[in-house]
Amino acid sequence: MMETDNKKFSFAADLKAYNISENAISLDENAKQIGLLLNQIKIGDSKLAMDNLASIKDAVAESQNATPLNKVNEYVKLGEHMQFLVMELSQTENLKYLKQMAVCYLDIAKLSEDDRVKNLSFAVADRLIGDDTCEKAAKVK
Amino acid sequence: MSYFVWLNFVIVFLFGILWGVLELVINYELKYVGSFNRKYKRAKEEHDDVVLDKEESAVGYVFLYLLLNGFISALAFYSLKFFSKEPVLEIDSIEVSNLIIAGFGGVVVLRSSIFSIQLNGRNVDVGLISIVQALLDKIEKKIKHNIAANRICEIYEIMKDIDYEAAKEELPSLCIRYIDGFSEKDSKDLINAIKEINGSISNINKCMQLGREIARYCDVEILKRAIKKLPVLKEGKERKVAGQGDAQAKDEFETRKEKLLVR
Repeated sequence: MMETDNKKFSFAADLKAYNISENAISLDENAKQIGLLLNQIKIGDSKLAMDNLASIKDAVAESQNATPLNKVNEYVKLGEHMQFLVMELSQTENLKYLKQMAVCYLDIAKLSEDDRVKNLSFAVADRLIGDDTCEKAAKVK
Repeated sequence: MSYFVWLNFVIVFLFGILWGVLELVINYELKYVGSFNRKYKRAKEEHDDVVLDKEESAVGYVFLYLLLNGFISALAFYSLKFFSKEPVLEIDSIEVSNLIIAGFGGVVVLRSSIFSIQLNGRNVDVGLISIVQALLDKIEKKIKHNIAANRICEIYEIMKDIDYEAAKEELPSLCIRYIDGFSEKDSKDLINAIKEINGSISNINKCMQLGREIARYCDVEILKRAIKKLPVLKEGKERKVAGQGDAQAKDEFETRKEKLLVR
């Protein structure tokens, strides 16, 4: 019974791996863009932001040479650290780059067709959209 | 001429025929020997676009093959009597041993070749086997055509309302969950086959190809029942018909991107 289940799992994994490998070039490019945009972010002296930024860079680098299924795991890591980074950095000067990173991450989520990445990308995007709304509201006041 | 002469020849003739039937039953799906089966004929009446120009029937070739088997066995029995210098017309009992020898002898002779020659890079056997092989090839070809024709109709009926994009992942994963012997190699083969179904071909074509690929591993009945239990495969198509399908799926990503890129 166990053996049968493993075999069936492999079909789902194979199919997922195929979807990822089909979009590997675009996924890698989007991840690279995130890596480049990270260089524009000003983190000041926040240790937490610095750690998250380094983790994102690691995840981007790892995702480039990873197997399709490991790529998704790296994107999940990337998303989680991005989420923390977005929460940590709320300065207006970073917002532009964070938004661009979020757009790239949305593209990654769309191409990878993975629910974990999708949920993380929505969380990051929604957070930034929410920040923007707050910012606009503050300006109106 | 006694009654036993006829009886012996009939028995050895039937022996040859029985051997031929056994061979066909083991090697081919005999339900497709006739022209298209009833299911196909019904589908043919309903869908003129999926029929072949003419009906393919292997019945004639099957009869010929069986008669040849029977005839050769009878000939072998006659030869046995003739060469042992026993009068053929004076048989007064059922000669079981001679019948068995003649029956098997006929079968062996019919499938034997004297020598083989090289023709266009392939070996061609010279002997009665070449006649048998030609007949079997004809039967096989006709049966394969009938199977294909039936399959097209069967798969069309099952897949006609399905949305390929919705089905390509859900349908194989559900169907194979009910196949105990599904191996890792099968999984990879199926993925590769699904990869091939691409390009600008129509939805129904893609669906029929998908159905065919899945049906290689599971019974068509499983496919049919899986689809019945997954109405979402049809809903996908209905959403598209209503003009909301793709847009709705993209919305979540695109609206967020638009909001992020505003300003």
